[in-house]
Amino acid sequence: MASSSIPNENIIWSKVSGEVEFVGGNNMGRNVVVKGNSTGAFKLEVDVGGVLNPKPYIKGMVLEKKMVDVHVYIVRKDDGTSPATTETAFSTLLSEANNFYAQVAIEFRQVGGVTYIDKTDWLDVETTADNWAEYKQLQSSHDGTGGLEIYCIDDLIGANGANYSPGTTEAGLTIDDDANSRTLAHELGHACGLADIYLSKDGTSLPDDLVKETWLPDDWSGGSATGYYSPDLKQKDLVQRLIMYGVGNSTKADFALGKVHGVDRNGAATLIKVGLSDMNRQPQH
Amino acid sequence: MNNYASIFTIITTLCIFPECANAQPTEQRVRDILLTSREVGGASFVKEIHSLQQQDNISDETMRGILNGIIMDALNKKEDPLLRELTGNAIRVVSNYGNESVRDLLGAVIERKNGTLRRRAVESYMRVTNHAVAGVVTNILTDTSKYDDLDRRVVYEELINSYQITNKKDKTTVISVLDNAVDRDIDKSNFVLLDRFLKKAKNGYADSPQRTCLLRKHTTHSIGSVTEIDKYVSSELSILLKKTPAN
Repeated sequence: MASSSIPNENIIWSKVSGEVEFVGGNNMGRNVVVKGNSTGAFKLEVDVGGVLNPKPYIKGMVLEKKMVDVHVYIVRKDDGTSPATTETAFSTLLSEANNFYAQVAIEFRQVGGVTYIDKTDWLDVETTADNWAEYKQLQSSHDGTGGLEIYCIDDLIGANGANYSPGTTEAGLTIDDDANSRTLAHELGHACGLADIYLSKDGTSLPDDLVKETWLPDDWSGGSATGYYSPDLKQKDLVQRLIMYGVGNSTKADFALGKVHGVDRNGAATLIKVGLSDMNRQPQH
Repeated sequence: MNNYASIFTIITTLCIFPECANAQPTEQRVRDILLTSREVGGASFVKEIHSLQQQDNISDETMRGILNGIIMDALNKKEDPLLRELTGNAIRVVSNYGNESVRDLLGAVIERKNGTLRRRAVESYMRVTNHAVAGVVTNILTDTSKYDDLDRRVVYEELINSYQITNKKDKTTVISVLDNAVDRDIDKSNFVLLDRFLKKAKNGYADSPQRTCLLRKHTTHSIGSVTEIDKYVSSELSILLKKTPAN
């Protein structure tokens, strides 16, 4: 049966658990809206014209919105000219990154104006040296702001963004002129305690297999085989959709609800912290 | 209720996801390494490319061909951030596989691109050519209508770094090139870089009339406020004038 042939009135949603309700009491159709009455987990299931058995379900969280302060530093040449970016461009980037973070009810809010750092040597910063000395010097320049520190430079050689959050003066986040909102969102994800996920690292590769429940336990929606995900969806395709995917692309956009199976930065195939359940939603550098 | 992120829109339409290639060919793995985010203190992309080469027994020629292909591709495409990141890192790592084809390709990047890609290409070009100051490098130092102060700075930095490891004859050449540059470069930041180097490396420069004259030339403040390099110039001039008997 083609899914388009099922009329909206035969698609019925119901609450399994949690403090949520259907807006206007409307629980029928392809699109329904629920609102939370108090924070916590919820689970909904849907009867799709009696066709799917068991019924698909979706899990979610009602969250209190968190505002996270960010302090912005833009590097310029020694003489105060040639800023790595403009205040307007950064503001746009942050706003776009916040669109991704709406999924986890976080808004990053720039505090005060931009602070300029006039140091030509820091326009281009190396990551290829083993000790990342120059990078650490840059990020040590401001500390203890009570929020996150974001440094904008012209060229971070070997990456277009990096975050360092060991709770020292060197903690901070740097992006370069090539960073887009997905880069910024990825690095902010590290600041929130999330980890990189890869398809392949240090000789370990994800098998070319379809998604399965044990590989995304908190984000499963029921059913057998690939469940109610697309029947041809492979784990490696899904991983590339995650904000915490460790390779730059122009499509990553999602936070999972929980851990997802992939290859970690040490080359181990395991469940990785890429989702809401492992996030610190009020991070500080 | 306003303080809760409480509205969920649920769409039952199934999404169609693109099919992934079965096995990653070498070129794709190289591209992934060049675009991989880095852990602070972790292995650099240069090391990862080297590891991949050893793991899969990839020849230098093959690796050079892949990297050249990535760079060549960028010459003909409109730049976007991902392309710049990929190409910039390819430019950096290709200097480890330098030969004439690499040199010529980097020369083309220097000619046709600007900003960070050009600067990366200048750096790699100099490494591939053993820091010879000729051809396009000379153009970078002299053609101020085409090349900017940051392009020149890369040349200076590369020469200064090479000075530490080069032989006596080449050291003399480096000092000569940079001594000419310090007279000519109007950018104060570049002047400070060169001045700091020549003060230590060139006999007689530190207390020379040439230096007094240059420090005087660079004492003007470009944007009204006093920056760190302004303070450096003023301080160095003041020290120098105290040493020099008044006329």
